[in-house]
Amino acid sequence: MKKVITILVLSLSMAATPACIHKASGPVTPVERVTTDNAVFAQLNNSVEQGAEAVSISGLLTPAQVAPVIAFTGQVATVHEQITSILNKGTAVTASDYATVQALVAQLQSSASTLVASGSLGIKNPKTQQTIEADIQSLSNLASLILSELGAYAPKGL
Amino acid sequence: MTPAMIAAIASLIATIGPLGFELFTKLESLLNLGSDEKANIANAIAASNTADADTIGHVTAWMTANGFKAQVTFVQATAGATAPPAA
Repeated sequence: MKKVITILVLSLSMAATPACIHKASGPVTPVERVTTDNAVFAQLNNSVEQGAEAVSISGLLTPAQVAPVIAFTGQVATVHEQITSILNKGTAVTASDYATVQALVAQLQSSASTLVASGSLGIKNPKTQQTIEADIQSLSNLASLILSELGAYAPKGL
Repeated sequence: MTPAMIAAIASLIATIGPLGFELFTKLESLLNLGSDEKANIANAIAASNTADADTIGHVTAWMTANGFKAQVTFVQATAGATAPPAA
C-alpha cells in the first residue's frame, strides 16, 4: 500500500521522479530519462482529463465547472505531441528544437497558472488521489523537469 | 497468483479505487525500463503518443456531448478565463 501511494505521489512530483526510474541493467541514459518522464507527463495529463470527467459524472462539479479543466488537458495534449516529436530525435535535437520546447513549456505553464487562479479546483481526482489543482501543478513541474533534462544534452543559445 | 496476492490487490483497489490502481499500474510500467536503450525510448515515445491521442479523443467527445465547443489549441492566457462557449 505504502509503495503504491509512494509511486503515485513521487511520480507526480518534480524532484523525486529521477529516483523512480529503474532499469534492468546499466545506467539510465539522458534520453531514456527525458522520454520516460515525458511519457509520465502524458499519462498524468490523461489522468487529469479522466478524473475531471469522473468528478463531473459524480456531480461534485457541474459540466460548466469542469469544462475549463477538460479543455486544458486537450490543449496540453496537443502541445505535448509537439514536444514528444522533438524528443524523438534523441541526441540529434538542435538549439532551435530546445528553444521550441522551451516556448511550449512556457505556454503550457502560463495556461496552467491561469486555470488554477480562475476557479476552485480543490476537488480530489479519483485517479491520482490528489486535488485537481495539485495535478495541474504536477503537470507544470514535470514540464520544467522535462525541459531541464532535455537541456542536459541539447545544444542551446540561438 | 496466490490467494494472499489477490487479497492484497483487492485491498489496494478498495483503498485507492480502480481508477487510482489503473494509473499506478501504468506508471509502474513506464518507470521500469528494460536493458535495451532504443527499445526503452521507442516504448516511451509510443506511450506518450498513445496517451495524448486518447486525451484529445476524450476531450473532443466530452466537449461535444456536453454542448461545449471542442478547442484543443491554447488561447492566449487571460485573467478570469472561463469555459468555452456552448456550441
